[in-house]
Amino acid sequence: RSESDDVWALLASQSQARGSFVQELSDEDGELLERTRGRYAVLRPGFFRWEIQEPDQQLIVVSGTDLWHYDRDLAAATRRDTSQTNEFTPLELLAGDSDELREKFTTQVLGPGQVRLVPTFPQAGFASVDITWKDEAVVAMAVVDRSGQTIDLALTPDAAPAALTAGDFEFTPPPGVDVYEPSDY
Amino acid sequence: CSTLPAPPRPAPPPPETGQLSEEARWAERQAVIGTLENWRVRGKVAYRLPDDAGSANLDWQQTGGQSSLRLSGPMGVGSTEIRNEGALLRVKRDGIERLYPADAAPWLSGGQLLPVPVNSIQHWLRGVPDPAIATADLETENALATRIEQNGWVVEYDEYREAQELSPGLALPSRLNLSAPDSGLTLRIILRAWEP
Repeated sequence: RSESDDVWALLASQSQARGSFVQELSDEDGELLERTRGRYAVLRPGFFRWEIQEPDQQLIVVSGTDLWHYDRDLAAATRRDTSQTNEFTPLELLAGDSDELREKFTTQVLGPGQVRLVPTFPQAGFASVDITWKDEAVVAMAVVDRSGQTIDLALTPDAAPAALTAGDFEFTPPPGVDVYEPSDY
Repeated sequence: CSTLPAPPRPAPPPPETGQLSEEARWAERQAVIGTLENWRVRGKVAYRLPDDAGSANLDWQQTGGQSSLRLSGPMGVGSTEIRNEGALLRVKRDGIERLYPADAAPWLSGGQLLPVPVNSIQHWLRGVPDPAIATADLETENALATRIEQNGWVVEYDEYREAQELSPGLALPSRLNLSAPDSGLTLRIILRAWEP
């Protein structure tokens, strides 16, 4: 089995993952624009939670095609149907169905435990993503988007993660938050 | 940095110096803010339209008359960069650059064309009216603007903070709301870090 199959096998094997992340956004010249930290959780297929804790407070919760984006500081929350929006973010690689995803990317082996995925479909909001894994867990993703910006993501899986259930991916906007849901919901 | 609460009700000033000092202090503040030629501010914006809403990270760089701002989603992917070029705006998204008139540019991820008075917003972000256009309304408290109305836009200031890195001792807006009633657009902005 070639290395590139390993990445899809690995992603498929990762039924659950949770831990902390550090994300660095840099511009086309590599100048650091912003560093964010927080917590992530993935339950495949289809459940995904991304909580930004520094420097601000945001939460993204995806369950199936339901995506909530809650900004605590702005007290604003929006709910979107991911099957409507065409943006595909690299983090959906963690939560998506890898058999389906396999068809949508070309893979290039960069080294042991590291593969570059290039999307073959237009909606991908990025040009390429390099995935690095260690001990059967994804530990880094380096994304280059179509404007030449890079997003370097370091994932630190929890040592002894408690089991995740679908209940961990429910979201109800707190009272007083300005909520927006498209009318066809 | 210290947090100034929403502009506190000033104690009633002594009669003879009261009103004049507010106006004089406001004029002096406007002059100081006007000298800030080069600055950068990072924060967030939540936009609300009758049929859409969302929020984005905001990174605004001002160099003299040149504004360049970047709007990106929470996971950094797929940002929008906007620069002003005279009365036009150059909008870059997904590597594609296009020029738009300032009163109809797709600066939000949904791509809707919206009025983006960048040349005015660069002043409103600093808590002063755009000197190039008429001011329909200006309210201040403790020499800090609480409301500015210009060109059909209403700007309300909820909170100020000391911009330590940019100009120690100078209070700049940290929470403000912009609304353009005729387009039904409201923007809630948080400004977190001011830098030279």
